Amino acid sequence: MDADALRDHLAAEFGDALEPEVSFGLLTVTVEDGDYRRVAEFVRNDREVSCNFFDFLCGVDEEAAGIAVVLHVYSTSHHHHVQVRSVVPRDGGVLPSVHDLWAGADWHERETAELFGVAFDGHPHLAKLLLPEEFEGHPLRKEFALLAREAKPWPGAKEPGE
Amino acid sequence: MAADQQPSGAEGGVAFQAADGTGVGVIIRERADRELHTQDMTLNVGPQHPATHGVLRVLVTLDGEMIESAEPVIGYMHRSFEKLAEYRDYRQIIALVNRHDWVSSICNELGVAMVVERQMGIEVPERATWIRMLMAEWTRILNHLMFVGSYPLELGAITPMFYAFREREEIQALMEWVTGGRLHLTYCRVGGLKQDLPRGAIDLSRDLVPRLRERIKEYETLILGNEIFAARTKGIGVLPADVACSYGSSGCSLQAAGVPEDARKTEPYLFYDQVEFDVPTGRNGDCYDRFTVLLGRMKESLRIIEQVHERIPPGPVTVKLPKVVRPPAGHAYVRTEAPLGQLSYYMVSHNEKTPWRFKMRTPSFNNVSTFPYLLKGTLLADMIAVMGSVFFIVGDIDR
Amino acid sequence: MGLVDKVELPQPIKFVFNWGRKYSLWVFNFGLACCAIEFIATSTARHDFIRLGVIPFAHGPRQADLLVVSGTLTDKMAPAVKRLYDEMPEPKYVISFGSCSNCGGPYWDSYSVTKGVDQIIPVDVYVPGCPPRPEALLHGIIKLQERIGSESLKERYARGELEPIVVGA
Repeated sequence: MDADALRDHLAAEFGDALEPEVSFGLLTVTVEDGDYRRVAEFVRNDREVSCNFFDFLCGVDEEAAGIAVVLHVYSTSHHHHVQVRSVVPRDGGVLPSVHDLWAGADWHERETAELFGVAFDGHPHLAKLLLPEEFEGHPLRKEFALLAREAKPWPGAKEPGE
Repeated sequence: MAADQQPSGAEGGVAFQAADGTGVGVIIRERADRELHTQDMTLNVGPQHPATHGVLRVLVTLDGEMIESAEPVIGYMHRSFEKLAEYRDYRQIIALVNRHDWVSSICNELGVAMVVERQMGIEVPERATWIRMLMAEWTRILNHLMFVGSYPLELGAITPMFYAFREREEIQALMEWVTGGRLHLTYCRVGGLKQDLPRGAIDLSRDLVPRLRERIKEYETLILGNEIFAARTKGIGVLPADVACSYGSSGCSLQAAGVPEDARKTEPYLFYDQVEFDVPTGRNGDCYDRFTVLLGRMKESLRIIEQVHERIPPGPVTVKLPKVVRPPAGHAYVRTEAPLGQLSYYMVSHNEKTPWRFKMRTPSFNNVSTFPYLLKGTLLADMIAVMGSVFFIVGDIDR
Repeated sequence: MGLVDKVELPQPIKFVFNWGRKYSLWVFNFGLACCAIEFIATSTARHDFIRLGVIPFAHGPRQADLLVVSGTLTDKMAPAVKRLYDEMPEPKYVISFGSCSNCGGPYWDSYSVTKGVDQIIPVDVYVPGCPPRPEALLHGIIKLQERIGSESLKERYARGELEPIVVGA
């Protein structure tokens, strides 16, 4: 199905619960964290959508609005992509885990948890994946400054864009 | 000897019987009360290990020779590409990004250039697109040659390593002629290429194709035809198709499981819909199939290269860009088929000189997350065969 | 080591001693990242550092003389490098291959990268490049061999710190 047909199909099922957006041929639905799990299950199990291939799950720092968690899946039978996006608060944001729907979500959720500080409810083992044990802080948040850039200005000719 | 052994009573001494019923002898009464205590052993493979390419650590829990559980510990090569990308402009990101999968440089850069072009609505000149395809396919062959050399090396065969690196040197000579670099090329730019092909590059490329074809035939007889290789890889490390999709495993692992999912075919980018090639698939999803698919992909790449030679039109290779590249606010996603699997970039832009968020979905991350599934229940001796057949690069896992 | 670290050897014996040492360097493969690929390319047929007497695939750190750190060193990996370096027996040499292990390289501002392996272990030769050409590694090895050839073990064990060599400077 192409992105517009998918959007209509999902809107028919969920109505106002999701805000769809089609950008460059890709459908992104933004949902509340309460509906996230329901939408993910539908996207996985519904026969018209049947997204069985797990692409990625990442976080995007949306500053004041919170941290957006983007789940991107693909269907090998219908050849379409769907992105499910949900914004959680910066402090204490929790989303249900989808590792039982797609096994690949296991590592992606661990990575998002350590880099952004989002907790995933129901995940078996939310330990640090990429960072060393002693690392403190959530590096991909915007307030995490790169110390090397603070300590010494970039000696090269121009800053990005100048 | 089986793990649980119970002493059974008999007059005189105690007959010591193994669980499968074979009697192993008689032990003296004083020791009969003690059950033989067995314990699973935790073996640490890596991070510095001659056979895991790069710094990957696997914590393996063994019951005798059988692996009960294997947990990869990654992050020893985490260089924080995604955070660094937020501080670099779009040309610097291209230079940065060809270092995560460090044996295939152009295929990494392609995705970055494409996602920025998509978001800005830039139309890349035809000549640049065909040349990008040519370089991408040669890079795919370079990458696969690396694994043709290293996978048999892990299994104990040293010769293919030297043959593969001989081929790599020849292709790298072509790369150096065109771009000036051997390993990290930084050849793509937003809107085209860094520079046009020099004189003689297409002839050099044309000469290489039949030689590579001959050599790939040699590899098939040398490696696939080898009895020991077949015995060590057939039936080992089977990854079924539905499990592979659920993990997001792609590239050789997915195609060997029988799923012909290749971004160049299902969602063609560049001009892949204008050339003819097939997607080789395997049947069983075992290590042997993955290696066969690897060699098959190399042959298909040569087919594409031959067709591209005839199709490159004259013309410009870049477009005129503003001094500062600033994609409009929004987000874009691009999916490419890197040599190791599906490489996607998801970029969120706030109309600044640097991206707001630059997510790199690398193939090896998902491929290596299948290790706990693959290694459970295999023998320790097969562990390296399984791990090597999942063709990963550690920089690609950790970014 | 008996008399070698206490007595300054006479020139003919010193020459033979050092000649034997410099032409049989066993390399501990410490390939971390992209530079490891160029390191492997240097060991294969076209560039071949084995003809210089440098032998790859030492069986472990305890049988190695030379540590070539090629690739980015991260904070998570740093303790492992230190431990492996300490396990190597004296006299041991370190070549830092590539700009990531020289100074952090393109990841100089990363939160997880150690800016240079010389923060952890002492380095004898720096080979710059990203990645350096195989010929640069051969140059670095030859420079190291020249230094070993003129080395006095007595001074070395008296903990004399030598200035490291920078290839191409």
